[in-house]
Amino acid sequence: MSMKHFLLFLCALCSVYLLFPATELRAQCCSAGNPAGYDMNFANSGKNKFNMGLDYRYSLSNALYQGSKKINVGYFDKSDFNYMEFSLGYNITNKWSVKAQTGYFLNKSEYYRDFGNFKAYGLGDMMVMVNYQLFKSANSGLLVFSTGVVLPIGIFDQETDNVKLPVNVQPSSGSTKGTFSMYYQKSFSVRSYYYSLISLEVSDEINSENFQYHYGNVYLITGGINYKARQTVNLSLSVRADIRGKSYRDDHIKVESSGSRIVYLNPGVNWQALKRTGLFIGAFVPVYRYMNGIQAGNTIGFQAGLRINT
Amino acid sequence: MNINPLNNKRMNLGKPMADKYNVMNVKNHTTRKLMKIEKRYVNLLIFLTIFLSLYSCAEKDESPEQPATISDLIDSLVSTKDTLTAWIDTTAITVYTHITPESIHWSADHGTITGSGSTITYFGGQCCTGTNTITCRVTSDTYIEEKTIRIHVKSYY
Repeated sequence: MSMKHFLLFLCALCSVYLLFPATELRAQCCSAGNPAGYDMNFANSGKNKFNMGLDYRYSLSNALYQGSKKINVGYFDKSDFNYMEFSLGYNITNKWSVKAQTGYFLNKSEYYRDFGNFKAYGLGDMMVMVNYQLFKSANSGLLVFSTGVVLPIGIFDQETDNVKLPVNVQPSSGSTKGTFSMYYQKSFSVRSYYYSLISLEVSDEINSENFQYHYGNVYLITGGINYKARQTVNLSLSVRADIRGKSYRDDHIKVESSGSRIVYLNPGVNWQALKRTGLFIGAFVPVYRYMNGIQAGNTIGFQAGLRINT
Repeated sequence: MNINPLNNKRMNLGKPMADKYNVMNVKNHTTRKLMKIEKRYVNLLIFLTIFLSLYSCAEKDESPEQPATISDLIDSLVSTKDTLTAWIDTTAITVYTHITPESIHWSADHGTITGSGSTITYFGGQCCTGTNTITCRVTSDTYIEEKTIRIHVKSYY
């Protein structure tokens, strides 16, 4: 039975992948919008239950890459952000749940040699999603489908001294997006389980007076294991592939230096501090990257968070 | 009402004591039930409040009345270069005007602007290759004018 479900899940993954092959991906060139975290809190804990989350994320990109090769050109020095995200979920039934999350950039900055830095801050995008838990059992594991919409409620036209900051550092992506994801989890011993998540993000075109841009699709594919080291401490290790295709601008001109394929190693520790409260920390370490054209590539990422379940 | 498991011990407690126990337990049960309901609705209320507050953030404030647009505030908008190499070149863009402007705003569809006032510096990375539009908006106390200039950013390689 469990094998059957697992095979079904694999088939579903493959069909999504076949429907949207990597060669036709179009995605964001700049790190626009809210950064992806590694929230694997998909299990429905029961009807009428709430869950809340508060996350902090930091990311640093301090080098330019041409393909996989680090290069040193021009005036670019580094970019980084400090970001807080708040999420709130509600289980309508034992199967259906809704979740809303939004974030605030404490800073989203680019640093240049000779030109100083460009720093924006403020409200990012907001995601509203609906989850459906197809099954949850010891034999079959847990399978959750999720779909949602990302609304660009945040700031996309921030200025400093009457000069509009570059799109790359604006807190909001400026674009409405649709998301779809599937999460699967299965125990393989009393203390351990593996999990996988595939998620797809499709953007709408930004079409304002002087700006026409289309972020492409973004795929996040994660696979990992979780080990219960102590009664209240869980250790996790996952691999995440972050696939972003090329973007399009002004009447569908392809932006050659956009899109990337990055694989992260993501170790994490989760501590159930109280009955309903958990704390976690994790890191994102890129182990492989291929940047189309020349782009800044992520050097390291860090995340810490708090989860409260009612 | 047999809602209390302690009812079985009722006989051993004596009537007044048992009644007191019963009343207390019924009260406790009702209170717990009420607290549960309350918690549920308070939570829902919190959820709705946050959702609506966030949604309201998305609603744009009505813009204050803008000055009338006129076409003779800006004399010219000039750039020292019209083609740049990504990550390498920069260009200075200057707006010439015959008034003392109240404000000068700059924006670019792609690329980065540094500086402020009547002269700024523009440059673009590799992701900004193509023909980019830089917009300058000059505002006086009564009028406003906008002009654009196009700069081509070519690939680094």
